[in-house]
Amino acid sequence: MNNDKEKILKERAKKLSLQSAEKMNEPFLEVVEFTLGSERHAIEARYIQEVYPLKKLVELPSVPSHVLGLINVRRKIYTVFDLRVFFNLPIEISDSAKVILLEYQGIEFAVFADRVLGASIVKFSDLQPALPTMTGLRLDFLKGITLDGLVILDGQRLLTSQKIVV
Amino acid sequence: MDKKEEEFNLKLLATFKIEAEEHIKNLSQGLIMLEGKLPPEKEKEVLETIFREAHSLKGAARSVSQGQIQQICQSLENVLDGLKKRKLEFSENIFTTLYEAIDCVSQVLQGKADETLILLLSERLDFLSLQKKEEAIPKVVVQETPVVKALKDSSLEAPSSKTIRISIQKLDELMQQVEEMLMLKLASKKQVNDLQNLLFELEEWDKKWGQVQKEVYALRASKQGDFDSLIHKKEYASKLLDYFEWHEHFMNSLEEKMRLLTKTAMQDHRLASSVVDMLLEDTKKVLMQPLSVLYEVFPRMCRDISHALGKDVRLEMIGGDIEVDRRILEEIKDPMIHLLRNCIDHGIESKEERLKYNKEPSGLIQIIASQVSGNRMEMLIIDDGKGIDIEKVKAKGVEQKLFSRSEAENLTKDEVLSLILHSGISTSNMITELSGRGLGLGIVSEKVDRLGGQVVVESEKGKGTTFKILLPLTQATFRGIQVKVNEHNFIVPTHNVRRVLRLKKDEIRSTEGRLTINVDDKAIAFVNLASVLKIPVQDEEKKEYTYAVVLKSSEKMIAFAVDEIINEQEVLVKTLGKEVQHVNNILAATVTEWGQVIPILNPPDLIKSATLDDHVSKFLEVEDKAEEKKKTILVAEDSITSRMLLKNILEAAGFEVKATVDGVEAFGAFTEGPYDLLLFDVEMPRMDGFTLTKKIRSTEKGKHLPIVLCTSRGSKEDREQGIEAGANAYIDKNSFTQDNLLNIIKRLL
Repeated sequence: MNNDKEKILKERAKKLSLQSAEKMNEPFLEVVEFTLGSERHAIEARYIQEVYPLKKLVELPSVPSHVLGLINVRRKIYTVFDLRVFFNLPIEISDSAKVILLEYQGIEFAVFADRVLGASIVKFSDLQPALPTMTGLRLDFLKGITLDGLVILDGQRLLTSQKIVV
Repeated sequence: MDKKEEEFNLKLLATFKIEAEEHIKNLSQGLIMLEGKLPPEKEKEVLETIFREAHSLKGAARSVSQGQIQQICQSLENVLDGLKKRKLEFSENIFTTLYEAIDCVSQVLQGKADETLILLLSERLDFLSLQKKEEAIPKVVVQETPVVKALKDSSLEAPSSKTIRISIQKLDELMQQVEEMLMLKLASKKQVNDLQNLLFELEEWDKKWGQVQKEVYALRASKQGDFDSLIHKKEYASKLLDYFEWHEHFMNSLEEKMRLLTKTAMQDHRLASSVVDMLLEDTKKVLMQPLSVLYEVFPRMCRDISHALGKDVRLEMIGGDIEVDRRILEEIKDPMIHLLRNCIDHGIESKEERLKYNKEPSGLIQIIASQVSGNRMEMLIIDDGKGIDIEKVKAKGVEQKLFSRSEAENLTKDEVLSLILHSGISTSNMITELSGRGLGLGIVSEKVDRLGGQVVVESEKGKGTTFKILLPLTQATFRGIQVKVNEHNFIVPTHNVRRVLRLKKDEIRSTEGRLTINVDDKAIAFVNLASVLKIPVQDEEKKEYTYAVVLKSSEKMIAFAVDEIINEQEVLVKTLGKEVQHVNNILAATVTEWGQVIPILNPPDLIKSATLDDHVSKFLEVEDKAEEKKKTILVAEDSITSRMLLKNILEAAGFEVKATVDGVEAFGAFTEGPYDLLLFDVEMPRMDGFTLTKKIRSTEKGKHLPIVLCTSRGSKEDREQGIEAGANAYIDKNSFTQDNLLNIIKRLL
């Protein structure tokens, strides 16, 4: 019975994803939206392995402040980086804190997110270059901003940046 | 290009890389054999082999449209063909050019190729192939291979392909082991079923119990004097007796079942342990590779370096068939390369010098590996060079203030030799790209130490030097001691722990401002692990005892105070991943069976950190420091050097620093955050220090904040202008000292 249920759910999910993709006649990005502080950010879905609750974080001594610590996801250790430190965003602790596990060419790590809002689709034509008020590192990792202010980060640059690794 | 096609091409290219690396390896090996003078038939055979290698490489390159490699291979083939048909003769020039061609292919593979270099090379190859045997070979201008090039040589950093070859037999054995795991899966499934059944039976018991509960209450109530009806009571009692009878029976059967279940669980555990242990053992064996894999790179490297240095060196290697854990092979590769370089650069003398001392003109380096016990091997790297000059090392040690002249005289030969391994002394006067920086041997011994091995040097002046490396064949299961400091858990690798101690307060003594304890009648430094790791130290006052682990690495021993020592256990080491290449003091991490992540400490780092900063004194004044919140200082300074300098000085003194590049940015930062003190340069673009000070003084927030101005304009007028603007202090950059700055800041805070 469980199997049947799973099958139905899977098919439904497939249909849904097809629908949204088919609707688009123009190039688009599939992204996962999340918040850092009060600002909405997103990373392309293809760099995202999964979203995981932030729990049992183990702090590391003698590391830069953008390294939050280590977490264990199914007996695998991920380093959690805090993009808020890079982007000079206020650092608060919320109950719904999550980590987003990223992967690109064998490089894997997790980034902190205040809240994960879900997957969505962004049309290329909606993307704008950076706002003049944006400075520093966020500009380095920026892929674009949508009309409604969603900041899309470049997953590849994030994952291969020498500024993040320690 | 289509995304799928792109992906496919990438995959194809990756496969080509692996294949090409194999061809390159074979080509190099063949060339080295040819250069070593072979009997004619053997020579022909080898030549044939490398010709085929070059040809296959060309073909493979064509299929992935690697034109450059194709081009080099074509030219390479022509030369080899000429050699094969005896139209050409072997010469130093030909070998050098052939080696360069192979290197060039590697460079193209790594994407570091230079278009003109490739063209030049092909031209040279073609030129060679066009020559005739009888023609006097014109001296082609051969690019001098500088030492630096030999260092960067691709064969040294041999592109390690991520594939290895494993015998089918080993894999089959492994597969059998893995199939055994299915049994475990079935067994655990059965256990789940059994437990579910038990739970089901307990539900039955719950129901029965519920049925007689009414009677029990009634009987309990009647005891308290409410004799309501004897007949009823009798009825109740018999009902209860029935229940008890059933209950006894039920409990007996439950006990029996539990006993059985425990027995099976124990059996399953035994099975699981043996299967897992065996699988681990066998997988370790799969990861074993012969030492010859490591040896492969040495002949070529030895050739290149000795040529570059104008020395003549023969290399003999024995014991290539000993199988060693692949991970150990990988770890030991760099140290071995380093030792070899050292031998050639420092050990072996030049031809002239050798002749002067009645030695064979060509030097000999031997690498001899042998298995010394079940799980250990010994590698000897022997050179017949000039040996290590003990007196020279001593002199260097005195020069570098490692010991005094009188102390030096008392050092034994062995002590001096161990200094070379551990203290960064190098006897070479000339610092070359190859060696002579003295750091290398320290790294060698540190790496070997980490693998659980040992390095010993023996040397006789004029006769040569022997490095003896003892290594395990397989990596032992990692054992670690779990300690706790201020609620943080850490694992300390057991093999670095010499002692675990419980100390009374009075056993910790202060000598020359440093804390020490006695271990085996020797005073060793005593530091707090928390302060080395820069985490707040817990209040030590109340505790009667202090716990400490004595760590040893590279002959240095330090006792680290911890709050608690939890246990010693087998630890599964998990690396922190590629994105975390080196975290100071942290080696890796582990996950416990309850899913808790615990960082594993890195003893060599810890000892370094402890010796670098003076944590000892901090240990004494820890109590009040821990409570103090870090003061924040806002710095504005347009010169990057001065900015970094100020930031470093202030951070080292324990302040939090926000650095900005000019007055405008500083004012922005000022409005955003709370700061305890502001430190500004006077000359800055956009807004200078005077204006900035005035502006800040005009705000409510900045009215009473201490402001320090810092400038090279030291005149009285400037000073007055600063004070007029509202600065509290004025520092002249020309007479600037660290102490001066910190004193002023401390006075103002």
